Amino acid sequence: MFNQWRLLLLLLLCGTILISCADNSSQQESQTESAVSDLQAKTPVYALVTKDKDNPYMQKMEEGFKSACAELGAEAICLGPSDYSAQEQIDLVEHLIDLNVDTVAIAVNDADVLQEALQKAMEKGIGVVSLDSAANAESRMLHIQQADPEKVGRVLIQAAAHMIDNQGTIGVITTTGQATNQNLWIEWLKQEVEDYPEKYKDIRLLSEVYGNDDYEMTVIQTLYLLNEYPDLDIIITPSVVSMAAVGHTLREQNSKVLFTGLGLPSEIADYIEFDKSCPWFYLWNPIDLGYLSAYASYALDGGEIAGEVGDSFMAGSLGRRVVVPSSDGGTEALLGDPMKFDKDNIALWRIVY
Amino acid sequence: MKMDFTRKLVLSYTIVIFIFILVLLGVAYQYIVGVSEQTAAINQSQLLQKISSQVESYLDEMYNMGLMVATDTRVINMFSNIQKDQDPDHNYFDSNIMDSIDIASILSSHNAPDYHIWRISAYNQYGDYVCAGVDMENQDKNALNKKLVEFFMSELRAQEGMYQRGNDKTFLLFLPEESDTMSMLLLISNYYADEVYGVVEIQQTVEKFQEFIALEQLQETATVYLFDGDMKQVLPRDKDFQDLNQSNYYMTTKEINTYGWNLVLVSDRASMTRPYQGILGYMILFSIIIVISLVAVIYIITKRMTAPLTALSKSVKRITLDNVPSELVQDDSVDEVRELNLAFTAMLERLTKSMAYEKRAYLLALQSQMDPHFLYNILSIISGMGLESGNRDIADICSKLSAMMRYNASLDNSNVTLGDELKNAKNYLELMKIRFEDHFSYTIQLNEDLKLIKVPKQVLQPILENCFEHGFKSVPPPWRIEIKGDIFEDRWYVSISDDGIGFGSEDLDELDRKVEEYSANIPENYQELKIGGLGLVNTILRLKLFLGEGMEYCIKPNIPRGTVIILREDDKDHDKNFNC
Repeated sequence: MFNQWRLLLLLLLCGTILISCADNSSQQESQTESAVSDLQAKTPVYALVTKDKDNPYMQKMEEGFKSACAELGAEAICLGPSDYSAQEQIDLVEHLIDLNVDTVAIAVNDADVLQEALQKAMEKGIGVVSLDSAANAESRMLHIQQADPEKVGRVLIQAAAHMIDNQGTIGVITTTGQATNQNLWIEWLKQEVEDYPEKYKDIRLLSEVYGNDDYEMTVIQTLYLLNEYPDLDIIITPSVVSMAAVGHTLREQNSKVLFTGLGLPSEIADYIEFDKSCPWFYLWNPIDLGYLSAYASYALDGGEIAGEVGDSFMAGSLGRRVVVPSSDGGTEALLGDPMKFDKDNIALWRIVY
Repeated sequence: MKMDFTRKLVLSYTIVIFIFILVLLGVAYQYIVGVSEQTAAINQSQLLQKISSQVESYLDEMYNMGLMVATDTRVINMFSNIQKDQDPDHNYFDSNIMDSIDIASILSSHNAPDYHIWRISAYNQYGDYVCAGVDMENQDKNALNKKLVEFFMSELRAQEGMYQRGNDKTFLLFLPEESDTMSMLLLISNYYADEVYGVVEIQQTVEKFQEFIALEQLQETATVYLFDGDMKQVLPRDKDFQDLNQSNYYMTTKEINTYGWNLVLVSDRASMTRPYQGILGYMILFSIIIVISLVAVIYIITKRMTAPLTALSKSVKRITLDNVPSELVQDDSVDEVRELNLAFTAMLERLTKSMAYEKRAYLLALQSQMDPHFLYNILSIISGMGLESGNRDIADICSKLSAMMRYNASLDNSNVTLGDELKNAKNYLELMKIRFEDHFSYTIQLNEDLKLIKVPKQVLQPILENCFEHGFKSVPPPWRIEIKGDIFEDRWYVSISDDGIGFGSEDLDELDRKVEEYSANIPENYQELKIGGLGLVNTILRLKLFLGEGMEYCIKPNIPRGTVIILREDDKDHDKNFNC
C-alpha cells in the first residue's frame, strides 16, 4: 500500500512538470509569431520639404508634421534648402525619390520649376501634396491651403481700414510676383475695396511694393513708403518675414504708422504689447498646417483619397477635411480660417509659435 | 474484504483526519470568500469614487470652459449686437469675415494651448453660428435650426436654479441622439439686464471622454456603466446595461451630484474571489499533502505498535497440542502486550503440565490394568468347578465378582448412569451379604427417574467400601446400609446411610480439608490418589471433577449412629454451605 502512494505522488509530480512545460512552449510560440508579424508590417515613410529650413514658420510646420506622423505610426523625414532655393528643392526631391519614400509634402519656392521632379515622383507611386505655397496643378495631387485666400485678402483690408477708422492711406508690401498665395490675397484685398466702394471711399490704397520676402529688402521698401508717403497711416504685409522687418523699421524710425498682416505671434508680440504699432494681425497655425499635410499624405498613401474634388478624409484632432477645387485648376483642402492675434491672446500664443 | 487490525486502525484514523480537515477547509473557504468579497466591495467603492471624480472633473472642465466663453464680454457684446440680424437663413458670420475670425479666435484661444475641448460653438436662434475646434460637418450645421436653438434657450431659462451651481450659471448637459458627442450648453446673456443673446455649446466626443477616464485600468471582469441625467447610457458604447443578467454581478453605484449622472460599477461575482482561489488551491494542495503525510506516519506507527499483537496472534494460531511453544513473542516494548505475553505463557505452562499429568494418568490407568480376560477365565473355571461340585453359591459369587470386575474395567466412563452404579453397588452388597450373612443387611430404594442420571463410574461402591473399611470396623453387627435415591424439591439426591461408627466432627473437618487440598492441587498430588486409595476423598474429588459445580455433597451423622452421605444436584444458587 505504501508503494502505491509513492507511485501516485510521482505521477502527480510528472504531470505538473509536463503541464508547465507545455505552457512555456506555447508562450514562446506566440512570442515568435508576433515578432514575425512585426517584421512583415512595414512602417510608412512620409517626407516634408520646406521652403527654407531656417525659417521659424517653416520649422513650426515641421513640428506639426512630425507630431502627426507620430500619431499615425509613420516615419517622418523633414528637409529644406538653406536659402529659399527652388533648385535645391529639386535636388532634395530627387534624393527622396531614391529613398523610395511613400509620400512627399512640399512648400515650393517656385510653382512651376519643380514640376518635372514632382511628376517623376508621382510616376514612381509616391504621393505628392503641396502646402503653404502651392506647386502647380500638374505637379501635385492635392494642395493643403492654409486659409481661403478670399477671406485672407478681405480680412486684411477690412482690419486695416478698421484700424484707421475707415479713412487714410494704406500701403502694401508683398513678397514676390511669383508667390501664388500672396498674389491671390492681394487680388482679393483689392476686390474687397472694389466691392464696397462706400465703405472704403475715404481710403487710399497704394500700389503694392515687393519685399521679396527678404528682410533687408523689406526694410528698404518700408523706408521708401515712409518717405514717399508722409500721410501713410498703415502698412499691410502678408508675409511673416516682412512683418518682422516692417515692425522693426517702424520702431527704429519712431513712426506713428501702424502695420498689420500675416506674422508670427512670437515675433510680433512686442509690437502689440509694447510698441502698440500693431493693433492686431492674422495668421493660422503652421503647426496645424504641417499636421494636416501629414494626414493628407496618409490618406493618399492608404488610398482613402486620390486628391479628387469631393474626397474627404479625417485629419486627426482637426476633424474632417473635404477636397475642393482650388483657384489654380487643381484641388485643395483647407486648413481653416485664419486666426486673429491681439492684445488679449498674444501672450498665450507668442510661446506657441 | 476482511481487514486486519492494523488496516482498520489506519483507516479509522484516516477517515477522522479527513473529515476534520474537510471541515476546516470548509470553514476557511467560507471565511476567505467572505473576506474577499468584503475587500472587493471596498475596492469597488474606492474605484468608483475615483472614476466618479474623474467624470466629474471632466464635466467640470466642460462647464468651466462654457462659463469662460459665455461670460467673455467680447462674446456677449458680439452676440448682443447681432441680435439685430434676425434672418434665420443668414449666418451673420458667413458674411462678416472680420467678426467671424475675431470670435473664432477668441473661442480658439480659450481652448489653447492644450485644445482639450473638441469643439466650442457660439450661436443664437437666428442661425448666426461660429465655432472653434473640430469643424462642423454639414449635417450638424443643418441640425442647428431656429426651433432647436430656441428650445435650448428657453430650456436654460426655465431651468434657472435647477442645475445652478452656487452663483454660477445654469447649464444644460445632454447627449444628442444618434451622436457620439456630449454637449454642455450655457446662455450668453447679460446677467444683470436679464437679456439672452445666444448659447455657448461645449462639445466633447464620448470617445475622448472614455479615453480620459481611462477605463482600461479596470480589470477585465469589471465594467463601469455611466448614465446621464435622463438615465440614458453614456458608457460603455459597446455593451448594454439592459443585457446584463444582474444576478451574476455585484454592483456598486454612485451619483455624480452636480450633474445628476450615475455610475454603476459592475463586477463579475465569480472573478471577485478569483485572486483568492489561488490561495484556496494552495490550501487544498497543502491539506492533501498533510493528510497523505499524516496517514503515512500513522500507518508506520500503528504497524510498529501493533506488531507484537500481530506476532502474538500468529503464534497463537500455530499452537497445537503437539507444538506448544515455551515463549510466544520476543518483543517486550508494550506493557499490555507484555502482560498478555506473560499470562499466555503461564497458561501454556499449566496446560503443558496438565497434559503431562494427563498422559501419566493415562499410563497409570493403563498400567494398572491387568489383563482382565485372565481373571475372567479363572473365575469361569472356579464357577464351573463349583457347579460340578453342586455348589451354586460359588457360581453366583463368581458371576457377581466377574460382573463387578467387568464394570470396573470398562474404560467407557461417560456412559455410566446412576442405574448402572446401583447395579454395581448391589452386586457388591450381595457379595458382602454372602460374606457376612445375617450380620449385614441393606436396602436400595431408587426412584425410577434417577436411573438415567449420568454419574462418574465407581461413585457408590467406594462409599460402600468405606462403610465396611471404617464404619463397621469397630461396631458389632448387625450392620445395615440403606441406599435411597429420590427427587426432593426438584433436585435429585442419593443418600447412603450406614449405622457404623460415624464421623466425628474432626474427621469431617479433616475430610473437608483434604478435599480442598487435593482439589486445589490435583496435578501435584495426583500420585497419591491411587486407585482405591483414600476412597471417600477420591470419590468426592471425582464427583466434583465430573459434575463440576453441578453437584454437592454432604456428610452428616445418622441417627442413632452412623453416617449419612448425601450426593445432591446443585441447587443453582451455588450455596456451598447448604443445609445438609
